Amino acid sequence: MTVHTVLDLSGQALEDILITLAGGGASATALGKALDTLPVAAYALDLGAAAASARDTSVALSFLLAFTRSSRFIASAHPAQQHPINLARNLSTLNALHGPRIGLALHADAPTAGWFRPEDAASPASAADYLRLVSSLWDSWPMDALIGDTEGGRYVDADRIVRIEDPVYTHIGGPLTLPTDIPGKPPLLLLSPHGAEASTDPSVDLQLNETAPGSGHFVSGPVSLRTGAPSLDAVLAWPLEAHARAQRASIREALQLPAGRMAAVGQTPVFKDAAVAVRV
Amino acid sequence: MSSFILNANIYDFGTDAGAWRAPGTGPRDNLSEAFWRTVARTAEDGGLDGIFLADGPGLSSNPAIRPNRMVEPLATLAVVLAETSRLGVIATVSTGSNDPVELASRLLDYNLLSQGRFGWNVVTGLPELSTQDFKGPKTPERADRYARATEFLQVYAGYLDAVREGRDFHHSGERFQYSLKRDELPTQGAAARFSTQVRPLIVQAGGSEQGRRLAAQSADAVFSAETVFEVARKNRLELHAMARESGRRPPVVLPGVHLVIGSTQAEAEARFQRVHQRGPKDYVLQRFSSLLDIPADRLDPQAPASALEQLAGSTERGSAGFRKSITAYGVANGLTIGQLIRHFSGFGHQFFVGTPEQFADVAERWWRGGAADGFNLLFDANPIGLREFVDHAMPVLRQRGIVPPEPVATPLAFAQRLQELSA
Repeated sequence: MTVHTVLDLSGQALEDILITLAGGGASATALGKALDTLPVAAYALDLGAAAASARDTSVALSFLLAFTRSSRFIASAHPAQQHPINLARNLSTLNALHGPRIGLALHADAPTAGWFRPEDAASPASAADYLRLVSSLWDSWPMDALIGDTEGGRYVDADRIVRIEDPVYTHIGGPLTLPTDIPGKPPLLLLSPHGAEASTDPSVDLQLNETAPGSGHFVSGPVSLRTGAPSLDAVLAWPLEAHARAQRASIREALQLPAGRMAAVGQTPVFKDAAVAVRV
Repeated sequence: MSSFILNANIYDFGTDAGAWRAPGTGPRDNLSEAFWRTVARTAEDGGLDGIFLADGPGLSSNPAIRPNRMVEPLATLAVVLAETSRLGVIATVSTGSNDPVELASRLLDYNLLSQGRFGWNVVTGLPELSTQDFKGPKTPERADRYARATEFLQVYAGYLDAVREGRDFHHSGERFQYSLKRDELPTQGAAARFSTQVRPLIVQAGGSEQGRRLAAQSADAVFSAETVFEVARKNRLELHAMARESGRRPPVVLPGVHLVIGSTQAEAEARFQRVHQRGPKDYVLQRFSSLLDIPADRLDPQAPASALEQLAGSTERGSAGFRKSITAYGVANGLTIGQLIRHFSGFGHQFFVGTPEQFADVAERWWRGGAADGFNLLFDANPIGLREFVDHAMPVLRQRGIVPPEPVATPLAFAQRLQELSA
């Protein structure tokens, strides 16, 4: 069975990358090329960190995408701190600008009690709930609703721009400010501790389980996530299978995942009133 | 040597409602990496100082007939920074849709990765459609928005100081409470080290009294809506005085200018019409009405511009800065409301359709007369308006000594220039 390796960039390895990209110029360009050349399915960002101390990686992700052409990246997030609307917009923008090269992963036990959660929330949200919400927000404006009729003056079919409903985050619904390609949606990954049960949420594309407690090695079928590379040099010299080849595939293809699907459980059009069309 | 600052405010396809239908423009251009790389390369090679992106966290209008502020600025401007080595970038982020510590930690990384070429444009509001998403029962009234923004900026600055100095961070205020140990802060990384050399620029946009006070207390630069030279000059002096009272270096003032350049006046007018006529019917009237929060049917086209202040007297939702500048412009030029609407094309900034020489006259008068330290340029259509400007207006501005003959080449130039420039 061909193994599809996801190599995590955390700690000093991620720090080395940030410093190189910050320097810009030839060094940053060379790093981008080196990452593009390595035959991995994707790079994960900061998934080696413990769930409670996971950091936002959207800024690092933005620059990594700008300095690479084909590398695929799986960002981590902090579901207790990052508002889902802001994160969904950011990732949708990156997905549009750079093509389907990104995914989003959370540790299943990541804390979710965030500033944007109402104090009277009926039940605590899980990391899978947060992922479902982000995916549902991408449904609020499907890319194929964009008509772009420059002669007729019709930019979008506004009836398809909706406020989504979520059973847990009941007060958050969008719509986002830009469309998202539904089949090319960033895949959503959940990292579970050794022995955990499978997530039942259909919006989670891939659940990877840790092979042994504390191993930092997560697998699901042919996909293998390796954490623990101590430096950027160690990442670039990672011993991969001899037959592995760098590929210019979408992240869903690289992870052997089917096309993205709608995740929202309910939708309400927001522009029923045509007069709202020109409001600022 | 001091010089006039020029930032390009890339309003997606452009400020004109017809921009997305302009010849040679594709409907998905603003969602493509190539568009932003072209914008970045054109601006840097053309000698501009920075790229500015306006933003709101949600849709502010129905995009059925025109797209509007779609992409998320921080994600987009990384492309601009990767493509360039000198150009500054300014991203708009609302204090109403973020947590100050979470945002500060992101901007710390952005400051490092941009090597000090980054500025945060602080806005306080939320689009009506977004209020529920950000846990508010309704859009906060202006006083509440600015009270939150003031404390937000205190938290932001305090957090960055704690990271820089490697100490615990505590804040106990009316809206925000934090108690973070030193080891919970990113004090050891390259971002923290870099922030001891350069801190992210703070830009403020908003012309209300609360907005001006916030700018005087916290901003390095102000994106203002000024249309009348004398008023702009007075406002800039007042802002300087307010900043000095707070013990701060006065911010640089960058009024917006909505512009179209042509070799002759007739060519510029024809070029303006070529894009503008593709916009939807009555769009400008409706947008004007919304911007000022005055129903369109109450806008009598024959009435003098001075009537706008009474019409908008009770509103809390319209933009105070735009209303003030629009009214002042109309009164100063003896315009009716109808003429004013046509003139502004729905935008509350100075509106310019003319030749490079005429533009240089305006820039020179505003700069040397103490009304502005630079302009925030809003092109009717992107990237063609930007291209026309750097090809035709920049050579004249260089010739007149308004901008340097060669752009300042050091990568830190943008943040340092704007932070160190003052009257």
